[in-house]
Amino acid sequence: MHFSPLLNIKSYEKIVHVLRRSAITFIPYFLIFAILLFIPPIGYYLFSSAFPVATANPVALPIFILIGSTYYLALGLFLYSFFVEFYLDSWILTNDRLIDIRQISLFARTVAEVDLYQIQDVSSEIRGFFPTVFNYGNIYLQTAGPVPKFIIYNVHAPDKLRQEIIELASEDKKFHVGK
Amino acid sequence: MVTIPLYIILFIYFASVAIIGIFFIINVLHLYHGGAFTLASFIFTIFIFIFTVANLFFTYNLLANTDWQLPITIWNSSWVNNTLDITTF
Repeated sequence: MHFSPLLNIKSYEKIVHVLRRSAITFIPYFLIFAILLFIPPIGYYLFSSAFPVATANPVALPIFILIGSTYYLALGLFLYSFFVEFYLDSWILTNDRLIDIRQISLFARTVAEVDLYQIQDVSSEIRGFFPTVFNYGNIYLQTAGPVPKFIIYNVHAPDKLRQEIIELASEDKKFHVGK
Repeated sequence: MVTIPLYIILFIYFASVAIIGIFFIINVLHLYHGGAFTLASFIFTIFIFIFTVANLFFTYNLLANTDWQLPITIWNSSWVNNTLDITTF
């Protein structure tokens, strides 16, 4: 896997984790997609019931099929675009820094990073029924750097990860104090 | 009366398919350049690709016997005349 355009990994740097939102949080998009699949047949049924003369016209059926086909193509594209935005939102944890890559929309992205030795406080939060059942939640990082607060959203096993970040930050602090 | 042949609608459909195809490619390139081309994203891409191809296949099959020269009336003055005709009230 290559991250070269965004990261510039240093020679001594090692990627510890590539974090993404828990896959569970994408399920609502799938449910909406599944519901929207039924709209064209329902719409055609209602329209043909309300205007039987119009739908009996030989040009009506091809037009309906083309509109329905365009609708399904657009639906697939929207689901894929949501997935790409969801999947490109990532946090890369190395032994030296944390990089926050936020895909805001298809044509908007922000990248921010913090050196681990600048982290002052790390807290994790699991709130709600589904996060508790599927063990995902947020991690909040308070830093002394130019970006005062980092939030890692809906990541899997946030408690374990918080512990890992604390350990990596303390290792990095030892290295920077010794400099 | 103003009419257009049915194939004009087909050309509009082709244009929309082309636009959707361009956005699909942009999404794939985003995944690739963002370093996010993993097994999960590959499987999802294949899923969307199969959904799209199946959609185009069914559309082609449903429209295979269509006469694209059929006229569509987009304007007929009798619609307005009948609406404004006092005897129809």
